Parts: sequence; C-alpha cells; structure tokens
Amino acid sequence: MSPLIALVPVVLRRLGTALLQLLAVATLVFAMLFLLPGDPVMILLGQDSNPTPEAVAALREKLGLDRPIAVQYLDWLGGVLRGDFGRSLANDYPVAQYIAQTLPRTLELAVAAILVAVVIGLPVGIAAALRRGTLADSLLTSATTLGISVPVYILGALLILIFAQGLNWLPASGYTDLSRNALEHFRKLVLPAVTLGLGLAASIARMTRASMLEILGRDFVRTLRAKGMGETQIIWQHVLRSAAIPIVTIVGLQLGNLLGGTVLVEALFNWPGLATMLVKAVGDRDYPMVQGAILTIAAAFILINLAVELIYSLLDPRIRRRRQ
Amino acid sequence: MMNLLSLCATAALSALLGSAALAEGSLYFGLSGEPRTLDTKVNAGAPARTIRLAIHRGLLNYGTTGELSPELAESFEVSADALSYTFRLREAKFHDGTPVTAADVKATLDYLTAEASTATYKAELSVIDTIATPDERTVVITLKKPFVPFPHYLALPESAILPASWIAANAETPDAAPIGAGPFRFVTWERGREVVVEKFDGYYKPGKPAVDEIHYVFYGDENTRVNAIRSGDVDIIDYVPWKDAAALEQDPAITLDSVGGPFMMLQFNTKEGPFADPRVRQAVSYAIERSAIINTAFNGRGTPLWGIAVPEGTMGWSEAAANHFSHDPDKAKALLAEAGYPDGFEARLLSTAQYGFHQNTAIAVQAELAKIGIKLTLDLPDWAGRMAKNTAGDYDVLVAGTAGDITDPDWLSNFFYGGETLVRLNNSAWFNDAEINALLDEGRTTLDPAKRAEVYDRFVQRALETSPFVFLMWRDQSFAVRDTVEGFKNLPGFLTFQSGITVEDVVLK
Repeated sequence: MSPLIALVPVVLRRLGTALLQLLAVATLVFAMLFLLPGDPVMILLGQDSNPTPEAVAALREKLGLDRPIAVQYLDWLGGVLRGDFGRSLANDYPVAQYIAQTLPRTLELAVAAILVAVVIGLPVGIAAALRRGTLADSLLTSATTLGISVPVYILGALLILIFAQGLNWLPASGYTDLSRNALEHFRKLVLPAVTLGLGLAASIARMTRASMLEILGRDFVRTLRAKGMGETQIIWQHVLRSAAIPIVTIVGLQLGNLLGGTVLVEALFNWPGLATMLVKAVGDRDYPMVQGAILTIAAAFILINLAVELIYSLLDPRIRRRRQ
Repeated sequence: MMNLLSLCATAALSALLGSAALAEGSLYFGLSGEPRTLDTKVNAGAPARTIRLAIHRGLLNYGTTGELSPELAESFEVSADALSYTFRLREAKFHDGTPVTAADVKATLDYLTAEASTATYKAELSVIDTIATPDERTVVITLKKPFVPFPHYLALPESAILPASWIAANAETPDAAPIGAGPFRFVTWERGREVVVEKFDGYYKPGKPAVDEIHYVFYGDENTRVNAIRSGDVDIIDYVPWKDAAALEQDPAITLDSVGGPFMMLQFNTKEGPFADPRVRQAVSYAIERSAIINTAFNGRGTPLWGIAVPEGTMGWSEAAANHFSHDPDKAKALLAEAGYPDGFEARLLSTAQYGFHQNTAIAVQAELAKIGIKLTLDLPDWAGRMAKNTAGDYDVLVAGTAGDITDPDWLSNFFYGGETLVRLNNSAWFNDAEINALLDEGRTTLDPAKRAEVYDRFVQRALETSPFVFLMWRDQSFAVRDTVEGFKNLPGFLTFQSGITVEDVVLK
C-alpha cells in the first residue's frame, strides 16, 4: 500500500475529531461570553448616555439579543455551518471580512517569526554542537536558556528600547500596507517577528545541538571518518540530514504556540492582526466577533497540528506503521 | 516561497527608491482606542469625538480658546424671554459639495430628538418646541421653556449638523460614509487599525486646514502608544499615561501638553446599607488623604479636591466651599460613630483592572478607609464589566473618573439630579434630593447671571451637606506632541476631550 493511501483513514478520523473539538470550543466560548458581566447593548448606546429603557429594548431586539440564549446559539451555529459568521454587533461589519483582513497579517507575523527562528536557531545549534565543551558552547547554550525563559513582553520592550528608541533603526510599532510602501511594511515587521521568533530560535538551537551530538556519536560517523571523508562533508551531508527529523518536529509543534504568542506581540507592537481584533471584541462584548476569531484560531491550531503529525508520519515510516 | 522572494525583491527595490510613497503632509495621531462607532449622535468616548471633530461641525462648537465659537452659524440672537434662538447660517459646504442650509439644521435636530432616537443628549435637546426656517440661511428655534445652557448643548460634537439627504439615506448605517461640514473629509476606516481623513478644500475657514491627511491610528495599549510617539511612529498621542509623563517631558523632540480638567470621585449606592447615610459619606471624605491617591495612581500629577468639583472661576466656586473637607481621621471616626458604625463595617468597592489609574485609585482608597475601620473588598472586572455593574447599581462604592459635558454649570445636573432614572452612569445610585433637584431646575431657567450664580452657591452648600459623591482630585490630562507639529492645543478643563477640534490649525514643520 502506498504510504499516502494508507494515511487516508487516519486523516478522516482526525478531521472528524477536529470538528468535534471545534464544536466544543465554540460552545464553551459562547457559554463563557454570556457568563461575563457586560452588556453589548449598553456599550453600543454609549458610555456617557443614559439611554431610555425603550431604546435599550429596541436595540436588543434589533440585534436579536432578546431571544433565548439557546436559540441565539443554534442560529449562530447554523450560520457558521453555511459559512456565515454573522455581523459585528458594534458596527454591522461582516465578521468574515474582519477575519479575511486580519488573519493574513497574523499568519505573516507567525511565518516571519519561524523564519527568524530557523535562521538564528539552526546555525547556533550547529556551532554549539561542533564546539562542544568549549567556552563558545557554554555561552551559546546559556543564551538559549535565556531565550527560552524571557517572556515576549519583556523581550519586545527591550528590543523597542534598543532598536527603536536608542538606535532609531526601526519603527517601534504599527503596520503599513505592502501595496502602500513595501519597505515600511517589512521594517515594521522586523521587531515583532524577532520578538516572537527568538524563543523558538532558542528551542531550535537546543534541539539541533542535542540531535547533532547524538548523531555525531554514532558508529556510521566513525566509519565515514575512518574512510577519510572530509569533516565538512560528513556534517553537511550525513549528520545534519539525520538530525533534521526532531528539528522539523519542534518547528511544527511550536507553530500552534506561536499563534498564542501573537496575542501579546500584536498588542506590544500594535500589529493589526486577528489577536488585536479579538482583544477589542472581548472588550466590546461583540459576541459574533469573539466567536468568529476564536473559531478561526482554534481551527488553525487544530489544522496545523494535524498537518505536522501527517508530515511526521510521512517522514518516519516507523510512526506510520505504529498507527496502522 | 516564490511569493516571499518577490516580496523581498519589491522591498529591495523600494529601498532603492527611498520612502517617497509616504505622503508629505500626513499627520499621524495615535488614539487611545478604536471608537465603536462614528455615529455623530452618540457620545462614544474621547477617541470617537477626536475623529468626529475633524469631520463635523455644529452650529456652534467649543472653539480653540474653550469659548463657544460660531461655526456653521455665523451669529445667533436670543429673545428677551430666552425662548427663541435665531441662528444666521454662514456660507458653508458639506463634503458632498451641497451647501449647509436651514433645512439641514432642522433635519438634524429633528433626527436627534425623534421619538426612537438614541442620541446621547436627546433629553437636553428635547426642550426644543418648534424649528422654523424662514429662509435658506435662517433658523429660528423656539423652546418649550427657558433653558439657559441650550447653546452649550448645541456646541457638543454630538450636535453636529448633517445633510438632510444623508440622514434620509444613512441614519441606520451611520458608519458607512460619514459626511459633515468640517475641515476634513472621511476617507476610510480600517477596523482594528486606523481611520483616515483628508483635507476638505471647501472648508469655510480660508486657508484651513493645512494638513493633507490625518491617520488616526488606534493604540489601545498605553505602553505601545508611548513607544510610538517616542520613536516617531506617530506625531501626537492622547491620554498620556501618568507614569510616562515625566519621561516624555524630558524628551527634547516632544512637548507634553497638560491641562487639569477631569476629576476622580467616588460614587455610592445610596439605597441601603451604611452609605445611605450622608454622615458615612462625609466620613469617607474626611478619611481619605488626597495626596495618597494623587501619588499612588497619578505620579503626583493632579490637584486635591476637598469640596465639589466645580472649576475655579465658575458659578458655585468659593474658597470656603472648595476647602470644605480636610484630612481628619478623628472627625471621620466620630461621624461613623454618630451614624452607628463605631467599629466600621465591610463593603464592596467597584473599579476596573483594565485601566491602571482606576485600579490604583481603588487600592489607595481601600488603604485610606481601612484606617477608620471601613474594610473594602475590591471588585475589579474589565471595563465592560465595570460599566455594566455601574449602570445596574451593583456596587457599594465606585471609583469614577470623568469630566462635565459642558462648561456651563448645568453639567452638574447629569451627576446630581434625581429624576426618573435613579441608577445612571454618572450619579450615585438612588440618590434623589428634592432640594437639589429644585436648585438645578432653577439654575437651568434663571437668566440673570448674578441670580444664577447665587442659585449655584446654594446648590454647592446642599451638595456638601448631602455629599452623594466624594470628590478626590483634579487629574492632569495630557497629549504628547512631537515638535514637528504646530498648532495643536489641549483645551482647558472639561474640554480636554474635545481638543481634537484644533487639528484644523495644525501645521507640519
């Protein structure tokens, strides 16, 4: 059986589970929102006004918030199944459009962060492994420990202090459309992407170092050396390739966590992505917006994990066999 | 990956070309939040007002000096009985090119006071009886009864004049395409990010505005907002956090524009329990050392308030009334004992964890009142939760920070008047004092300024006796402005939240 066909039942089963997970998330979030104090109708009518009870009732009816919660929930769920995420309570703007605008920015940030992580993490890990036991190794390894433990909001604040306010090389915050000014766009991407990516870079560096050291100690490396193969060739052609699988796994597994990290990083750099939208929607008690954003994030998280798992089993036949 | 490569190529190319794509005359204004709506009739908070004051003008507005300034009306006359106001309109245009006419003014005021209207100041404007439009440029408004502060309510950003045709088409979707007669024309609102407005060439003040476009960028996080101005991402920010004020003052490229204006106070649920007794509320006032709050929550940037929050120099202010209370824990304990609580009591203090100065004020109040035996439990939901509890009367004591709506002393009505709705945002829940209501009614209808001042003197005495609020301090409210910007001004006192009107004077250096 070809490995791809063998995966079909696994994928179907996992997709089924994913749907159930999404339903659970949606239900939980809906319930939580209604338990929170705070009334979107009062927020909409203005904080400094004293709306008449008639005006409150009229708006509540218009927004459909006067119906029983179960009815509201089923109505919303029915809409989602038809691909309709509803409209923002605050301004009647379609939720799907909000998501279409903001999700690409969050994904761009996440992808940029992974690039940063790989570009920094991989060389550092390799360098540390090759200089095992030297001062350089200790320094690099300590740096990675620091990188993993420093929270993004402290790291981000430090980077802003140094590169935006001290050296004035990069903007501290904001977002410019790619079509408007591509250079500004990428200049504004640098600090948030580095902030989000450094932690992952540290994880990758540690994993690379450990994995390389393990492979370097194997018999086949000794054989290659005995055969007189050059050290550079051994490292690049044989060791790195064997060490790659755990590194790929780390990157994949961390993608989901990166999405979570964007909540803080977007706030820190005023990056107008999905997380920024979500935080504002919670403050406004804009139920359809919160629901739509959470559902999207949950779906992305589940899909990414599913994809990672599938790629992993394609790469490593042992895992596939265990599944079957 | 291909895409990424082409992106990099584009980036490199535009690096070579320099950043010519950025418009020269653009002002970047970092706002402390994204408005829920730009609907003119609703007071949706300071950021919404700031943006709307670029797009819209009313018959009158609070001008750049803080005085009432004639805008779409070039002048107005009041009849001797104060029942009839005649406005003479100037030649002005809306952004769609149509002239501002008497019919537009009538349509706007009808729209604000319509039965189903959700306008914030509907109650105040409903004093209008009839609106006559003898010609295109004259509007005669007749009131049901004399209402001295009437022009002030017309000057609020929520009374902006809209085209009659726009109201007919867009009343249900006010955010879709706002049109006004202000110096800037609405271009776009990208949710979650910014509102952009551009210079309106047909503005009625010659030579204004000088800026080509303004980007109102939303910076909900205060630290991010401060970073943005320090690194030059934006030119102006509102709501400078008090903790950062000193650092911004020392920045050679930035000017901190501060005024005293808003105040912090405690509201009480006066329905039942200890706080129903005015002596207990007075005890609270004597117990709290105001400097503890100013230092804890505002980095020393404020002025103690030992009376009623009546600004100096306005009706009702006097040296004695302004210093009625003092820090006197013994007197506070005596008052508590007199009210039947010699050993104090327990109560809930509502504030919010979302804004540092609200939370820190609550913490300072808790510490001060513990000294006279009042043990407060903090209730710190997010802002929306706090607002819901506030308007439901679900609190014993509540920390509030606000300002009067207008500069006329009638702003006090919104806070002190009992009336039909006894649980409101800005009142002490269930407080309803017949004498105070009568004095506020008298103040609204007394034409003679000297007599009116007397009415407010009597009001302040009664307000001190009943003490429905404990006023804590005037807080500094600041904008930070980069030195490349000239002409922006933080309006004094309560008008600080309407400073956005001065963008019409802004020049970029």
